[in-house]
Amino acid sequence: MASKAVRLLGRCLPFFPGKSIPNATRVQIRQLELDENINMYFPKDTTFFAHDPGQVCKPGDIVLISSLPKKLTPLIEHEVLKVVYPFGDITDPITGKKVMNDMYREDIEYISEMYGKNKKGFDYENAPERGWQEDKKDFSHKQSYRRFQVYDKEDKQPYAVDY
Amino acid sequence: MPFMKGIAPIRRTVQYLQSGKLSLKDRVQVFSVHYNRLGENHQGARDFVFWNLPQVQYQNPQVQVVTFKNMTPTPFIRCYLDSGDDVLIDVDNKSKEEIESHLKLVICKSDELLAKEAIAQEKKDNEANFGYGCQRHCICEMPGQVPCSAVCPLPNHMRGKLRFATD
Repeated sequence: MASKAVRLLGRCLPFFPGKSIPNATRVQIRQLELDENINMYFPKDTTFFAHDPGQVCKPGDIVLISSLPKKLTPLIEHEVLKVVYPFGDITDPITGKKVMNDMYREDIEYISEMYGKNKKGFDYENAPERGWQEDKKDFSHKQSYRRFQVYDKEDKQPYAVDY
Repeated sequence: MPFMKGIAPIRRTVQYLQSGKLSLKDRVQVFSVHYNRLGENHQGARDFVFWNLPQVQYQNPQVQVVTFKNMTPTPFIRCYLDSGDDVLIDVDNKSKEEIESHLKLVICKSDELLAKEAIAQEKKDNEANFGYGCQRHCICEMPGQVPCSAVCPLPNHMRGKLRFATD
């Protein structure tokens, strides 16, 4: 009998510096591990590479991944099924409305209108999709490297990452 | 109760963990609870997570139990099944007991099913048992017992057809 595909819910992490893995996202899965000494559950994070050919996942999204019946590559054992909650754009499944933390966006609109809308404030309705600055000002989705040791002030390294 | 530290250390006893009433169905793979730190309508969900979530994880070690805090205005529980569907349970303004009884109805194994599984487990646990559903099909598999008559015929003095033959 073939083993059941294991489904897990995790959060997308930014790409993996130093290793370019095409069509995959890094997903962090949080599971509870029982500490036998005090019989208490503690969260334990594991990172998986999930096959994502359409690059639908962005860092911070909550995604549902499923284990593949056969490993795609030595590193990729899972595939992304769907993005459950995109980062910053969560839809409350009960009502179907867009939310921001503990308020509905329409309530935030309403309150800001009562107080007087700030023209510089973020406009959810007309804001472009996440990732609109990719390849223009945002290069975090591209292959990068861990920041080299900075010896003098002129060495800026604008495209290095610090983690 | 050793290490009686922290709030409600009873939650950290094996007896408490084993007394969890929520044994999720085999279809459930992920059990996620969304609730907020503040808000009266989330109090039931917060109590459920505080008191019952360790029990749920203990009873269902194969399920990923995950919590999300401060994401939506109303609390809910979402279970992801192996078929790809998810079960959405609204727990807005519900008490911990209401949540527990609702979950038991919706996505947990019924008491009859649990009793049947306990009997099946017993059969598996007792290694001396043989037959259908057990580790060994027949007693002839054990060294020291009479070997299988299909493989090694019994001696003639033990065979009824030869002992009681009238001709």
